[in-house]
Order: sequence, then C-alpha cells, then structure tokens
Amino acid sequence: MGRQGSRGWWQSCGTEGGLALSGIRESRGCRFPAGFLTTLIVCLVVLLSCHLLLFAQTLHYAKRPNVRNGEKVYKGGCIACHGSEGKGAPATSTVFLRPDTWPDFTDCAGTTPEPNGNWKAVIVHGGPSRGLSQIMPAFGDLLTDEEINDVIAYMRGFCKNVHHDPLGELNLPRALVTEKAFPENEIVISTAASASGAPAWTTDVIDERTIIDARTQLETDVPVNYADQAHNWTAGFGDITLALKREMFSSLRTGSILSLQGGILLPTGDNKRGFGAGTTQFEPFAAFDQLFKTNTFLQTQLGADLPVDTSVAPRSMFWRVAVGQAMAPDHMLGRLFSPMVEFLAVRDFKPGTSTDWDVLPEMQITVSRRQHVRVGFGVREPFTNTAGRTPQVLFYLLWDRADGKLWNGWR
Amino acid sequence: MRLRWGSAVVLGLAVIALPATLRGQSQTENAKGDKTPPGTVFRTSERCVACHNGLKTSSGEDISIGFEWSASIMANASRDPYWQGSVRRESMDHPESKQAIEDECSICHMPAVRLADRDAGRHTQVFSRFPLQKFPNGDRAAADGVTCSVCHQIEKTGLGTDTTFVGNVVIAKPVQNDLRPEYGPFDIDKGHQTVMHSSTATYFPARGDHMRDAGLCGSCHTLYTSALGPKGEKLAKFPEQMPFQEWQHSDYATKQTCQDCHMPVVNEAVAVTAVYGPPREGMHRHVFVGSNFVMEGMLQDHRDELATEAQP
Repeated sequence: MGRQGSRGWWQSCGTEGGLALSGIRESRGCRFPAGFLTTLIVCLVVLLSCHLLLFAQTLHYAKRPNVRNGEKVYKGGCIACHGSEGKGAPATSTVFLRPDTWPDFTDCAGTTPEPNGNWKAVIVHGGPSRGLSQIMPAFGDLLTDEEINDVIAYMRGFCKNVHHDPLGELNLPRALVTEKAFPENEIVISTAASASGAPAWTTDVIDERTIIDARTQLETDVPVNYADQAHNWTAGFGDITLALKREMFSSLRTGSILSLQGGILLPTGDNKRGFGAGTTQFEPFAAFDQLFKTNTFLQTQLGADLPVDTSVAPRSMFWRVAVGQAMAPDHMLGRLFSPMVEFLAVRDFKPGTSTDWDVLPEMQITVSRRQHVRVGFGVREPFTNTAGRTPQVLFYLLWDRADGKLWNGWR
Repeated sequence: MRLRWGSAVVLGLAVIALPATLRGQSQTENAKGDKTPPGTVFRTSERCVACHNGLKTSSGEDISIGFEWSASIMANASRDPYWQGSVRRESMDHPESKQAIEDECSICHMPAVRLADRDAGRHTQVFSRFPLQKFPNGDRAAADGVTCSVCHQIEKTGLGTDTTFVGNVVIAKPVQNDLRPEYGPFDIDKGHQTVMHSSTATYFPARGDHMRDAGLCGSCHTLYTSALGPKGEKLAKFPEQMPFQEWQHSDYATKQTCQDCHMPVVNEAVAVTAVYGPPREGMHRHVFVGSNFVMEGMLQDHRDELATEAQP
C-alpha cells in the first residue's frame, strides 16, 4: 500500500534491466553486492537455527483431537462457568462479576480469529497469563495435554459458522512491508527512517478493520513525512490510501490463505516536496500466505501502482516475499518471536528501467501479555540499483484492537 | 557495504539472542495475578461458589455448597436485622462502649471484616457498612457474613478452648507471598490446588481435619460477654450464649459433632467441586440447618431491604 511498502519519496527508481520475477539471480542488469549473499545466508541460517532452538508456533498434535472426549472434558469442568452452550452459565450460579473479557464461544466473530494456541495458553496457565481475568483458573496441572487439545476442539463447535471465516492460525505475523492476506482489526503506527544520507522519515498511521463480515477489510493509511531537504526541515502528509481487501480462499488444512485488495492513493501529498505522487493512483494486489507445519511461513504479495496521470508518476509493479519463523518458549504458549526476511522488488513500466531489489531482515515480538500489542523492527537495504537509494530503519507498533483496549492485557 | 554487514550481524544476533534471553521471562511464569498483602486476607464467596455449585447426588438432589450456604443463617449473619438492631440498641444505650460493642459483635457476624481489622490492629466500623447492597456495589466482605474463606482459613490452634471463644480464632498465615492454606477435610491433588490457587490468587487447598472439629463451631458459638464499667473497664464476664458448652455437657458430645447434625452428611460418594471433582465419601452439606426459620422468612419477605442474595 502507500506505506513503506510502496516506493517512497526517498527512493529513486532503477533505470535498467528487465523484470525478473522468477528468481533474483535472473534480474538482468542487476549485480548483487557481495554483502547481499552473505546477508541472505546469515538470515537463512538464523531462521533455521532458531527453528531448532525453540518450539513450533502452531499447535501440532501428537494425535488428532477427540471431540467426543473434549465434550466429556468440557462437561466435567468448564461447563460450571461457561455453560452448556458456551455462552456462560447462569449468573445466579456463578455469582462472580463477569469481566469485560468474558467470552461467548458462540460468537464466531470473536472466536474465529483466535488461534488455538491462545486458548490453550489460557487453559494451561489461567487468565492472567494472557492479561485476562484471574477468575479463569490454570488447568495445566489438572488436565493432560491431550485433554486440553480435545476440549478446544469441542469448544470450536460452539461457533456455528456457515461462512467459513479465515481461522486465526492463518493470521501470520505482520511483516514490515509485505501485506498479509488475513483481514485484520488493528491499528499500526509504522515508521521508516533513512539510515544514511539526508535525514528523513515517514510515519504511517494505518487503520485496518473488518467490515460487512470477517472476510472483508477496510484499510486507511495516512502517511506523515518529515525530511531535511537542503538543510531545511519540512513536513507534510503523504498520499492517503483507502483500500478494500477480500479473503478469497483459506484453508487450515493446507495452511493457505489468498486475498485480493484494491486500493486508491489520493494525491494528498505535496509531490513538489517529494511527499506524494502528484496524481491519483490505483493499487490492486494479490496476497498469498502459506503456513507450514514447522511454523515457518511465507507471505507473498504481487501488485501494481497505476497512476491516473502517467506523465507525473510511472506505472509500476511490485513483488514482495516475506519468509519467517514463528517461535515462542513454553511450547509456544509464551511470548512470540517472529524473525523474518523480506525480499522486495519494484519495477517501473518504462523503457530502459530495471527492477529495484531490497532485502529486509526483521523481527516481530509480542510485547503485551495478551499479545495484542506487538512491535516489529528491521533494516531495509537496497541491493540493486543502489544509487540514490538509501538503507532504512523500519519500526512499527501494532495494536490488535479486537483483543481489547491498548492499555488492557499487560499484567 | 559496511552497513549491510553491520545490520545483518546485529539482526542475526538479535534473532538468536533475544528469544534465549527472554525465554525465562515468559508470560506464563510471571502470571501470578494480584498480590495479596501479608496480613489476614479473605476472598469473598463469589470466588468460591462458581466451582462449588452445580453439585448433585446420584438421585439428582442439588447439594451445591454455594446455593445452600447462601441461604443459610451463616451467610446472612451480617444481614440479620435482629443482630443489626441489637448492636444499634446496645451502642445507643452505652455510647461510651460503642467501639468495643461493634468490635465484639462483628467478629462473628461480620468476620471477614473484623478478623482482618483485628489482625491489622484496627477497630471495626459496623454501621458505616449499612445498608448492605448487592454485589458489586456494596461492601462484599461485610455482606458475606460467615463466608467460605473465614471458616476454611481457621487454624486448629486452640479450637475448643477459651483462647478461641468469642470468635478469637487464629487465621492461617501465608506460607509464601500469596500462598495461603485453605483447609478442607479431604486430601487435595496438585491439579486442584493449582486451579484454586490460580483463580483466587492466594489460596491453596490443604487437608485440615479440624474442619470437622466441633471446636471450630464452638469458637463463635461460645459468647462470654464482659460487663463494662463507665470508663470501659471490664468488670466481669458472664456466659451469654453457650451452645458449644451445652453440647459438651450433653449426651451428644460423645456421639455427634455440631457438623454431624447441622451439616448433614451425604450418604454416597459425591464431588465437592463442579470442576473435575473426584467422588468424596462423607461430604457434609453446607445447609447449617437450625431452628431460626423466622429469620429465613424475613430474609425472603424483605429481599430488597435486606439485600438478600440467596435464591428464592
């Protein structure tokens, strides 16, 4: 979108070579700096070594969950507070004052985006482990791992979802630039700053929310630029983006999710100061994410920026890939760490231009107990057509507002 | 080039080191919930009854501890308008002894408040807590009467002797910061100990056979009242209410405890918790049956004025 993912005002376009989407080695006219391969190897080794060090993110079961046994487990204990229908037992029986976070397991919109791992963490360690109510006990010493998996499988049945909304397991860690396919309900403040050359940065305030249903997302992105231009600091809005995303396909069985998005970048930025394109742009793209059993994940995005006035801004195509590994201590029930590497390509539809390639090693970490507040950080480095394109330091703060207020869920 | 190498190395180290560094600080390991102060602490009954309701015998008879206790005179000890009126009358007649009267009367009728005050060296204000309001607006500890965590935190020290009469019981001290024993008559497995400790953020259930000792009841059901002089000095004490001593001197003392009659035993193995409770032989119902049916009628007839919480 119009955030750090699109070609920013701080970048200059490549001028030669051909579009090479089939492999980075094939980018005609691009010579990879020696450091790139080393960086790539380091990142891949890091990803693989981390995988060996920690446990897997998604809950993989030694045996398939037994829903019938899960029902037995539920009715043996959970039912006392959560009731036979998953909406909560009568308040006259439970008596305690229900917290704001009291769950209604029949509420598909609330439960479907929650991965099983979140539920398991609360069952094993109790509500406070995820910043929820103390009244939810810890069952880790009372129920076996299998029993907990079984009861989660049974509780999933309370949501009678006929729309097949995408499951929370497919909500992969957000990359700094590559857009994921999962429709979100979050606010992100994302900043990219020049790591060398003239000081400058752009901060995007991004609001993503599902509308109509859980498969459709409305995105609003307001960029604010701040730059030292010829030793004069200047600031201003960039091109505001409005976009609609629609999940087209998702399957937990295959670990795949595909979405299409159409966006419009309004010419709200001052192009004379380099804060905008100077013309309205349309930005369609497809996003496809793949989660593997090892909790390695791949996020891909293919799209184009199509300005109305091509004399002001060229048409361009972009291709982005993020590969990462989700991992966490305590059998994936603790704080989540997601190292990733993004490979970012953009090419103008102009004769004689080549593809600009960037590499972006990064890390996302959950910071709140509830895991609804996360940070991501990384360094984006051009490695082709580097003239005039400077490295950037990127950072974002993410608040998944569907999981509660920003100030809740920290202790 | 230098920057590329540098950033790759820094990020690589961060990727490797950060998870390992923070591994020992997982959310779950730090999730202890509220810390409780070192003094005497009573969680109120709403922390207990959700797990101790929904109990039935094999024939379907409801023996829920929470429901039965909430309808008993024990749960309504501070709601009892006769008691409230008596304390008011005494205080008006003897204004110079008002504080001593409130302290003495509240220790058994509003024990979760008074025992905490006593152990903290404070006096207890009874009337500032009236009228009792329904949860969550009112003073829950005051409204709870003889609540779960009062009886089940009493230590066996001195039970059945002068030292614990007039409600002067010893309340269990925390063995760690937020780890306080809560006694029951059964052996408790670790799983249930964790469940209870995590949801109350303080109590862990432990076996205490003194829960079935008549002396436990005798601590409050022995009331020696001291006559006070004009300056509050104790002149003499006289036995005002002596049910425990009457029992001791009766034929029942060698046959049945207080609990045997007032908390009738369930004649089959039943769960005492609705949360994966194993069947227990000899569970006593928390009906605290007595002859004060007049009071129960008043609690029912004047539910709003008395903020009665028991189900009709």
